[in-house]
Amino acid sequence: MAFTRRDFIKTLGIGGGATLLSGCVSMSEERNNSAAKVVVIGGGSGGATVAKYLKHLEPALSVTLVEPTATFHTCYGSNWVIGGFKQMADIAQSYGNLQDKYGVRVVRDRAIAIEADKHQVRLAGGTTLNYDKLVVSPGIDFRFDAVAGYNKEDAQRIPHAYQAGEQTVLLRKQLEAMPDGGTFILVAPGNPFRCPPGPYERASLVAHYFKQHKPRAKVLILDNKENFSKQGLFVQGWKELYGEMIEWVPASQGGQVEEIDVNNKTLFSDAGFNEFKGDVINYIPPQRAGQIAADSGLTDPLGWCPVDQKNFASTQHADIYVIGDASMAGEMPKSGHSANTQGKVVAVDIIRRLREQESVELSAVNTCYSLLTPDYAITVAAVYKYIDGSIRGVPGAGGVSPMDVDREFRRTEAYYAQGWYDSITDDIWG
Amino acid sequence: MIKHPGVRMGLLPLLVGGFLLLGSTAAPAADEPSDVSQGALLAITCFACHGFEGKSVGGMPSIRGFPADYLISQMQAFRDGSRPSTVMGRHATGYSDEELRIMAHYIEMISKQ
Repeated sequence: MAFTRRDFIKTLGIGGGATLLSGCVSMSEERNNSAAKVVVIGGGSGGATVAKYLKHLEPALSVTLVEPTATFHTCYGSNWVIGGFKQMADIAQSYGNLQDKYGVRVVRDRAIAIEADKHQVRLAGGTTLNYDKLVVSPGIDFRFDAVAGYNKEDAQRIPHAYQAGEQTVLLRKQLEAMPDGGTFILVAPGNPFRCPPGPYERASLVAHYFKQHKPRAKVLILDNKENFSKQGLFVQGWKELYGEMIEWVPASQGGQVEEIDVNNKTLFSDAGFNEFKGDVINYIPPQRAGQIAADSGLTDPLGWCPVDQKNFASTQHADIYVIGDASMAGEMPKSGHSANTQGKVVAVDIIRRLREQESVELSAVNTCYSLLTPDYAITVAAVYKYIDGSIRGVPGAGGVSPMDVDREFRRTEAYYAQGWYDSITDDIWG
Repeated sequence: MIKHPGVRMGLLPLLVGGFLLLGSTAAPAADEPSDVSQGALLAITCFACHGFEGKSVGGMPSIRGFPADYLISQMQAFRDGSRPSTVMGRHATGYSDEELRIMAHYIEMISKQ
């Protein structure tokens, strides 16, 4: 699995056995990785970060980023659009800077196959890309068959809005069209899933919208779990901000949805014993790694990608890394911030391997800001290291915002939530 | 009690000025390999919140342009709670003195480039 000296010479496309044996490779040639090719699949928070940082830290590398869309909408911030105080343009990112400022070759296409033995990626448009190192950052796909009565096409009527874009707009329009006094039902998935606090931030911001425009409406969360991220802080905030408007139902009390009647916007749990009728339904299906990962043999039986916990190298295929939501990253949550920090870990690791240096010790960070109103935010943060065979939070560090603090503290975190968005998107796509 | 986020930003020009007066060594020669050390990895993780290369484009404080000693002292103050914060205390407690040292020196180094 290690990148051998022979691989390195081959990668450079210089010399042969004679050069290698005679030790004639000069230091400057060793540092010239101009022929080393890195391909990155997926232009989200993980893929765009690794592509940019590879070129930033080692400009001589050839880096190709494969991404089907010209405009990428971040999933983080999409609840702000659903809550009605941000526009889609505010969460839109593009690839011009990666290409023009950093020299990343951006290919607007979709990867359809990875041929690990040949070190090749095939694209839907017919192109084949060769790689020395491949980074797969495909995000999530949904398990649309997880409940009876619902399939992929039904997302046009009962949106998930958990990949930002048209789905975000669709849910927002449905909420705008909903009558006052109506019920919004959000169905939250079991663990693991993208953005653990995401459904609860969404419930909060829908309530924020209702409070201003439909004060008799209700928000009902049906959950496949018994507890959720930042629960104490969310529950405290909901009561303080929205009174009884938001109701949360855990799995054991009827929250585990088993069947959806799409036409009648009705949900069933406990073998039909419980029935919930909504005016707008937001069903967030359970998830798995993006399709390309499954198609390429990078996933485990549960649909996520196992990786070396020291450097995100796939345990399934050599010279392939998997980062972001698709990867099994120990205690790290599936978040944009995690993907960003993982992209940096991998960029550094690839460059060091091409220089025939050992990996450095893994160091990663996550911070998740959640808004309960535009002026009220809570956070969870952690610093991660490789500890006892897996990626774990450093003991004594991290944690959630304090309970029972004054409104100024929440307002300050809300100010920083926007600052975080501005910084991380500039770090990734700027 | 957390002061308004903008308050401490007033320190920035002073410190940047002070830093420039300290003088700086020349940036590494163009043919020297870039720094992909442990300190580099530790430092670039900060940029998600504090902006690419430590230069914030929005409401987060920039960390670029500060001398390493100042960055270390502030991280230690966040870590022991003597400097109040919203989230920085929860991050700073994740790092040893040695990690803070190499992280801060990387940020100082790129600030001079």
